[in-house]
Amino acid sequence: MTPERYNRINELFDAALDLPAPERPSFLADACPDNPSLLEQVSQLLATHERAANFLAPSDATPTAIGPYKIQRVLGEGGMGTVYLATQSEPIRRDVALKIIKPGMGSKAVIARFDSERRALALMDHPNIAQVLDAGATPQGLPFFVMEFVDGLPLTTYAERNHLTTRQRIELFIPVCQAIHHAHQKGIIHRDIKPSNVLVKTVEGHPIPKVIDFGLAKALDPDLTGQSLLTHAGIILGTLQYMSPEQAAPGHADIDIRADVYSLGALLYELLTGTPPLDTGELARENVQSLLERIRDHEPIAPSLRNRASALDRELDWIPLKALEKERTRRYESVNGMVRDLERYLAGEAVEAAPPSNAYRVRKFVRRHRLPFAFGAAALVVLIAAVIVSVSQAIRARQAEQVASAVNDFLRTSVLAQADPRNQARPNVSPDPNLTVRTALDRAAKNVEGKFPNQPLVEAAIRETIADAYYGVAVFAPAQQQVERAIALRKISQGENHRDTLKSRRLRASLISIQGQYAEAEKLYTQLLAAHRQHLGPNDPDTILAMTSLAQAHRLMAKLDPSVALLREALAAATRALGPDHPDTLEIMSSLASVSVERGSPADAEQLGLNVVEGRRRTLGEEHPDTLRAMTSMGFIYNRIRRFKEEEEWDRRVLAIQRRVNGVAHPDTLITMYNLAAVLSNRGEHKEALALLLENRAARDKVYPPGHPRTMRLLVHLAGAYGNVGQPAKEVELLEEALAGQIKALGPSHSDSLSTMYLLAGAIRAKNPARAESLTRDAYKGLLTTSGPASVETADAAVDYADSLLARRQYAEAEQVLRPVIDAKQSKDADLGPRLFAVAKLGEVLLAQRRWNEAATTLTEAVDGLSKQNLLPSEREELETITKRLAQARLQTNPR
Amino acid sequence: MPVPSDITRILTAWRQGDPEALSSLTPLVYGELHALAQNYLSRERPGHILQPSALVNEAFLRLIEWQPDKWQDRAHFFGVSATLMRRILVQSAREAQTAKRGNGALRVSLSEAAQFAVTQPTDTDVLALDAALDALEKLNPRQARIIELRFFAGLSLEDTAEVIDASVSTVRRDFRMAQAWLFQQLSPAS
Repeated sequence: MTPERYNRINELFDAALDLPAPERPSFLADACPDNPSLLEQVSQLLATHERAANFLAPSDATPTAIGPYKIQRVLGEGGMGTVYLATQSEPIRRDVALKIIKPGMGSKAVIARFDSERRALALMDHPNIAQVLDAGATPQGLPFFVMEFVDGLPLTTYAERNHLTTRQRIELFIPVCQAIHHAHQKGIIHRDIKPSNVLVKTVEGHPIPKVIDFGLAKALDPDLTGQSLLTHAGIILGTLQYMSPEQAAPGHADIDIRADVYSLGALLYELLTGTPPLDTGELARENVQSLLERIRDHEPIAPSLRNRASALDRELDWIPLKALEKERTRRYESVNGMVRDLERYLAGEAVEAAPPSNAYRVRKFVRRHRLPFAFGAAALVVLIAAVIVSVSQAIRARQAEQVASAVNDFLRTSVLAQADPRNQARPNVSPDPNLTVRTALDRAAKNVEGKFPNQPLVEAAIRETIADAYYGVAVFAPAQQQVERAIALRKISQGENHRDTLKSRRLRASLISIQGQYAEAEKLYTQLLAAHRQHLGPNDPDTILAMTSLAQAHRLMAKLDPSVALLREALAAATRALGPDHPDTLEIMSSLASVSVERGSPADAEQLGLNVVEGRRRTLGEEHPDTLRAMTSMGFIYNRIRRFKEEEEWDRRVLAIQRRVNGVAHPDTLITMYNLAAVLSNRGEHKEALALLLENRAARDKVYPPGHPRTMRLLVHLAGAYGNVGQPAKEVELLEEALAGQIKALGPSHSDSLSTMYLLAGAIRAKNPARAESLTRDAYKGLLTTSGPASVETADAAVDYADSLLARRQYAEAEQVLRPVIDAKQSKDADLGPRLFAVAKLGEVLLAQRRWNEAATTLTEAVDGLSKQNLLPSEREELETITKRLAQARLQTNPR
Repeated sequence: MPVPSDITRILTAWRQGDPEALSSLTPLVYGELHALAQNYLSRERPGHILQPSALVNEAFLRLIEWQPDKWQDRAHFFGVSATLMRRILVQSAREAQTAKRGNGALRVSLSEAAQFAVTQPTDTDVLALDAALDALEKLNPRQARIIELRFFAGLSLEDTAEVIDASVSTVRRDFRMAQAWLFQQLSPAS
């Protein structure tokens, strides 16, 4: 055998194997007609090939145990490998999920890559993150990962099975975002967020979402992008729908947290609509290359247009759509931004800009358009900061000098010294460039053990400080362990109701609350407040703190009445003890105002809000962010109680300061400007509204790219403003521009396009009735299917369409158009006005047919309903006309 | 036990083109792998499966632990360790052969040397494979190398491709050919 002959055999062998089996003999016969021994050798080799399939090849059989993990059963087969339920025997006995990665995923490097992130992963400690406990290689050399076992369903499946409402879905989604945000703060990007990586388990009847597989995507492939995907396409298909465009791009895009923002957007999209933004059905038919292109180029349809359309508010569309922006600079900058918008939405407020028709339809009802208070997330941060400051102050203020210096010494040598490179470089200690706060704290916590056998108070103070520092870096479980040890020590030497013990107990309760155990926290705070009152007295600052803490706990449990009662008591006590302008007093007052709005007593909120503004202005100055926050809240409160004049005044004040401090091209300034324009339109100040919207547009063009759907919405507002100042030509021009832009960006059946269509119809009705009617008809039909019969826009379009049918005496058709809108089930807090105008229009249709009795009943319903609404001047005129029609119908039914 | 910094230094030198570096590296890695192999062989019950890829992995992970940035040289490392694994197994097999047969001495057969579903040549041992590989190397060195990497180091197609700097499809075709060829060479009939 020569190399030449071997290679000839090899060539024929390869060529034959590329052919279907039946064609091989004739191929070989043709290839070597005068060389029977070569033919024979290749044929034999081909026959051997069949039997040698596994010869010398690495195996991928599943073992029954791997190290300390005993495999119980298969939990699932994923794209990248198989997940098993396993039992860990040592150091502790517990069930874990063990994921063995399929061969061919670049197996050897996987563990090394994972190890490079291990330190960062260990820093993550969040109740909604399933911890990755271990990684290694099976005896066959396949990488495996060991994770906390989460016995639950994928997020979307859970939501479907339990028929969750939109609100419940969002409430379940927010902790998922918070978990991802926590990871981002530790420098970890998940890279593979999808429904099957967010499992929902049920604890005592409460659903707890858990994000799994942190660190795996990066370990599995550092360039899980573009071309490398092509080789794993079959494997990763399930992930594609949630993958950001930059991950799908060819080459090696740098991936940052905005990739996770995108995937969260895709997850939210599916959670709201039941369908991922890119349809699986469409995906399966195409090849991978075109799929990747699709991810990069295909704009998703707005969620409210999907199958859950009738129940989905269009306000909500903007949250997933913003997260799903192709260009990552246009996405939320952090997951927290998305959470804030979701919280705003849940608070019933506009996401950023309300739909265009609201400010436009001056003849229609005033709707909420304000941005809400920044409580929620911001308040939490303040709360944490306050706890930290108070604890460290307490150590300085209340500990005996001796204790304080012992604590200081310990912290200096045990914690701070570790971070000092000079100390790290001691001969027997190798330098650790990656020393983190967490590691330093872990070491410190270990060092305390047994070091202060006769000084329980020193040990307690140190443990509290460590707990507090853990709290600061958001590592809650070890913080709780430390504080529990401290409480135990203090109970023995000081008693359980000593001021210091109580402080430690409050810290423990707040840790329990922040970990999401609200009911438990509420119970603890109730006990604590009783103890504070009895042992420290009702006006003690600590007692006041316990009151506000319990009030917050009640609020988290949605018990608003007790929350308000407690805050009032706390406010009275704080005013007595600290004075009316003390920051704590004002903070309590501000909390009370927020809870009052939530509870539906905005009139109370008004006085409180004014006091807060006044107090802050006096103590902090007008430009201080806290003062501005309080002033913005005033506009919100006045909008709620429909005092638009005051709303306008406060908006003006805030805008003036924001212009001065932030400039015009700043998101906050744009929002205030928009709010002010809306309230001005509502109040009939059309010229100024127009000027503001023009300025807003110019500034907005610097922030958003041309043709952006939000800018199109602004054009619609602007068109309305032109209409209101008597420039119909300009109005029509802008509506045409907006409609063309919306059709281009969103398609003709998007609800934005449809409502612009309807508005355009209204603007051109006088000049071009034929086109107006056909536009109205298209808009009505489109809105009926996409937005549903309960939507305000559908009702408006129905009234206009019915009106043109009525003019042509097509009564039956007009009735048919109005019926679905009138019969639609309205949600509790819906704007009832549009439906009532549809009822009135039906009355008019019945009246025209001389169906007096029916007309009288219908018109009575409309008049009664509308009289209870807060109407604008133009609407009041309309109500008068309707009342006259009712009188006419009654006259016919009861002829005297 | 090799000093980690030596391995780093040598790997760096090798990467910078010093051909002598590899020969000074080999005893270090060899020593480490051999110690691991001995450890495994003595700890496991006789007849239990020896898993080359596990050995390589563990050696690899130990090296990583010493020097986290090392794994950039993983291709080199696997390349070296595949050869070393082969040598260790052949040496173990020779030792087993010189020992008296049937007295319970450790015998490393192919079926023990790797966990694969072998269908035919169960009696063929590592020595026969070693010889067949030597012969194959004269006919097609790359294919011999691929078998070494796949079988003795337990590398995936992708990792193998990375080590020899070839495409995955080339590795797949070469492996297919070498597999059939060696199977034929090692079958009792031939």
